Amino acid sequence: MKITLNSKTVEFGNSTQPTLHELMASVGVPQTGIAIALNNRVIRRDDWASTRLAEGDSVTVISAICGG
Amino acid sequence: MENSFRRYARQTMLPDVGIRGQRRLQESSVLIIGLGGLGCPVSTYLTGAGIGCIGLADPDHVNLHNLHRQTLYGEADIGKPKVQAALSRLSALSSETSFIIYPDGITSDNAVEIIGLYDLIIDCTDNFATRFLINDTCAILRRPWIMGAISEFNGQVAVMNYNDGPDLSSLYDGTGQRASLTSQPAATGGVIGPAPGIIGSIQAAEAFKILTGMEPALAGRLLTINLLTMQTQIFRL
Repeated sequence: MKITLNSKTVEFGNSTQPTLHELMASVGVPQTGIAIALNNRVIRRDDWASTRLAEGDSVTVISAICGG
Repeated sequence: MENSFRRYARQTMLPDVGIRGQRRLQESSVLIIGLGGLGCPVSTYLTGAGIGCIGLADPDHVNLHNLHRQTLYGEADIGKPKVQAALSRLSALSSETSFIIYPDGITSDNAVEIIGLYDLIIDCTDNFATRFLINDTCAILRRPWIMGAISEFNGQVAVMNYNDGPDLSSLYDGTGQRASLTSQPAATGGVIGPAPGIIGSIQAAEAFKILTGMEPALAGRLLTINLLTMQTQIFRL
């Protein structure tokens, strides 16, 4: 299926309904220092494994920054 | 009184603000934690707006490498405590705001006592340890706070704990995440001056709306901006 990852269209998933956790594992994002948003809503880490992706979904990796 | 009326005329003429909004600002107290790139525009605009009392907290001194983005300070301020240099500039801007300075900054020893004195907290810090301390203290004391953060060409803003709404624990949840972030040193990386100028101005605008009784647009929402592409996004927490 086609999804948008950080504003770029990517092909992802052989299964019909891959999870957010599977996507994160496949692109190799770091375990800490980030938040993930699905369709502009931040998804809690505990929910990554149960959150299923659908065609056309938009996923954004938000990097934690701390400068002032 | 006549001078005061004229000073704020260009904001009180807005129907959403009016004399009533101005009175609310004059009765408000705001604590600005961090007087670096973000704290400079935040404190300038909130002093200009006529907040009654502003607390200024920062343990640092002005350094030459601050001057490209920290607009309150000049070459003659190098080596001075930021709270002193900021107090001097802001007092000259307006005699209608009273200031309290905290030259030790906000620490786990004084956070509850100091934060408890203010209606609204503005996070202009440069590290996650203080940011989580603000988060936890504001949750206990039920104070809204406005997060700002910058790095390189990027900025982030969110209104946290507004009417007991989401806070940092919704953005950076999960085992190990907090420990990992709070153990990071303060940010010392590259950044362009306009990044804190833009993010600090958004923080000040949200503060203005909260204090005058308008709805903040970023309550429970994170705004991100990339100054290379000028793309802005808003995420629900």
